[in-house]
Amino acid sequence: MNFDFTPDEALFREEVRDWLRSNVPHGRPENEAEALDFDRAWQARQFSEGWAGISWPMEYGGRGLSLVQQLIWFEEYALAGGPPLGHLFVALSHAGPTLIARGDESQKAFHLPQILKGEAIWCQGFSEPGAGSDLANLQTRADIDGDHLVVNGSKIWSSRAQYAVYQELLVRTSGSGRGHAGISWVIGDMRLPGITVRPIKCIDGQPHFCEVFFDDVRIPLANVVGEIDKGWSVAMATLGFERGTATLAEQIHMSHVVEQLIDRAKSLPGWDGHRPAFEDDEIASRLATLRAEVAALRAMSYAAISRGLRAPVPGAEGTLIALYNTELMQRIYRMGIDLLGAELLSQDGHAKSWIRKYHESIKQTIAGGTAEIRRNIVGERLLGLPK
Amino acid sequence: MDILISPDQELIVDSIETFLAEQFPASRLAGRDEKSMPCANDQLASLGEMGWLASGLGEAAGGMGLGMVDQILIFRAYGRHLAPIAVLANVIAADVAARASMPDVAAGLGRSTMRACLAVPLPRSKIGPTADGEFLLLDSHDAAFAAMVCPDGAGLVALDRRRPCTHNPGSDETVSVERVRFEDIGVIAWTDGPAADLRSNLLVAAMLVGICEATRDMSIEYAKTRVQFGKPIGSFQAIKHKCADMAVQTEAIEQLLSFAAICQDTGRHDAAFQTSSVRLLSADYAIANASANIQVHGAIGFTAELPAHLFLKRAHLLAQLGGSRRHHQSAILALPSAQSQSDELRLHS
Repeated sequence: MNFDFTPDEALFREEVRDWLRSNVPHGRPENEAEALDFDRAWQARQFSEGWAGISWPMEYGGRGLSLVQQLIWFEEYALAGGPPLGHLFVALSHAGPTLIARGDESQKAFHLPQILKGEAIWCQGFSEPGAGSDLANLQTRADIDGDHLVVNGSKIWSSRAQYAVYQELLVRTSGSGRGHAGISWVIGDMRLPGITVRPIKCIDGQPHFCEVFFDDVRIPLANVVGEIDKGWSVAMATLGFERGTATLAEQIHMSHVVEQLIDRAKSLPGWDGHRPAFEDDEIASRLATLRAEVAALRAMSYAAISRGLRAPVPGAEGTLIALYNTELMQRIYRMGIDLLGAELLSQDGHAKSWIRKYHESIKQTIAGGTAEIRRNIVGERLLGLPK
Repeated sequence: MDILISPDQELIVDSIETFLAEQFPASRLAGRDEKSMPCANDQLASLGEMGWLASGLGEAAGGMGLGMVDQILIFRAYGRHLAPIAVLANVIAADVAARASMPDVAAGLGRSTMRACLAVPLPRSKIGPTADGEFLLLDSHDAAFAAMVCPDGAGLVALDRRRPCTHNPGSDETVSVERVRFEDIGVIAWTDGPAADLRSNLLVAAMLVGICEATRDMSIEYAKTRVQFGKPIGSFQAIKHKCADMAVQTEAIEQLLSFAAICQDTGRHDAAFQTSSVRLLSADYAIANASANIQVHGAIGFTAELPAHLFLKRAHLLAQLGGSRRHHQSAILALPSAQSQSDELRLHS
């Protein structure tokens, strides 16, 4: 039980801090379409200066460093006020790690450098209208025709599919049309003929995700990741990354937001119009609890990294963090709008961005597995409770 | 960097766990008349003989010099087994005596040949080089000293007489409670500064974490074996999800406890912040888990035949030690957190 860093790691932290301090860009556009170029340019800059893919293999453009150095990078990134991964989230947090773990040589050589350079936006094609929480009920078919798969069906809740060039696509390649067997994990090219994308407007007016239709879309068999018909385990690995260390940067960002809330509570007027909101016992109590919970989340992340150093494949423990993280995030942004008082009604000035973040936080307990599915995973896989 | 329990520490955990499971399983307290609770002194004596109470003391006082990272493991086990609250009193009192250059007293308390009790201040009571006002003494049988801790320091008051082993059950009926008034009594030992308060709060938090663990495990075990509607009740999401929530909170608080202990041992700038954070949340989570555990058990959980009710009562008792909820919340907001170590943060926010 220690939190000691080696001299090399301490030196690495200094280098990272220096570089980030003078290079982190600010002013990411709030409009997602406008943020596209911003996100790509920032990733390209990290790559050209040798800071992309800290723990990714060197032969594919990464730095080949340890999980601890990855942690240091994320910590310093958050301290420097670095922007969210945004449009590159799926590419950097799922697709990349999944390909590193399960992709073949040519898949890795082709895709990983593109991801690190910020050239490839990825989206996820897992859920379907009839297969949400019950993912194994997915019905999108892929029939083998020579050296191609012919895909027909539709996917839904695919974040950023309107911008993506690649998709993590789960399709049914054989079997009864139900169950884990017969599902394959395929790299889909979003530019292929037969693909139609319909953006879906969400609670905050933004098209967070899309429905994607496939009409005789021909995808080379070489794009299957892992074995054909055995994509379920690849998909679970992908979700493992999402539920484990992938959200580390996001978690560290939470501490930043709570500090902002404390600062705002000191300057905004409280309920009596005289003392600042911070002097209100109820507000102070909630802020203190949030600060403590963020500290707990941080400690959970250190524990997750410690587990990762002992056994590199993420286990179901990541789901514990995901549950704590997502519900905490919602409480944090709820605090954000509660500080606004009646300004909440206006959508003007500083209120706008807090209202938007509050609305967006509502998806946290749904995306990437609902809180209910996550509780099932914890109950069944970690605690050994019966199905 | 590795904040998980190390292989060496696993030996400590196994050893204390085995000892407590054999000698003092939590079930020993269930189904007893509240007047006939086992005397804390007997339980303390065997822990003292085995050296557990002296583990944090230096060699001069007959201890092993273990850091907080190891002591929290022992106190988690005390929490899981509803060890007598007096373990906390003797360990805190020995710590004060050792720091006040009274190694013989420290050694006696560590071996449990000498007894201390906790003195919990009621509102408006004063702790310092002199103690004044009303206090509740916990498990004062045969105690020579009352140990008291506040954010400014910690001290020992010599008690005027030895209490007989009569049990005056408090709301946690396993703990004997005696109301006393001190009129400006000078302490016989005092250690100045916030460190004693931080250490004692971390040990309290560790016991609360132990309650989180024990109640989670009780619920899981019951959910696997209790059958209704032809199935183990753990297969129903209403129960499964309650157990999952207990597991999430327990994982969060175990890791925060470890991190706070590391911060104390290494003198990190945010040690006080992390300690108040774990102290605040551990009380909330232990009370939540202990309540959920009763609910998972249904009517049998409401009876005195299982120890489920004792975990809830103990959690409420521990939540009153080492400062109120608002005290810790206000400390959390006033102290530098891990995140505010760099001015960078505010520059960019």
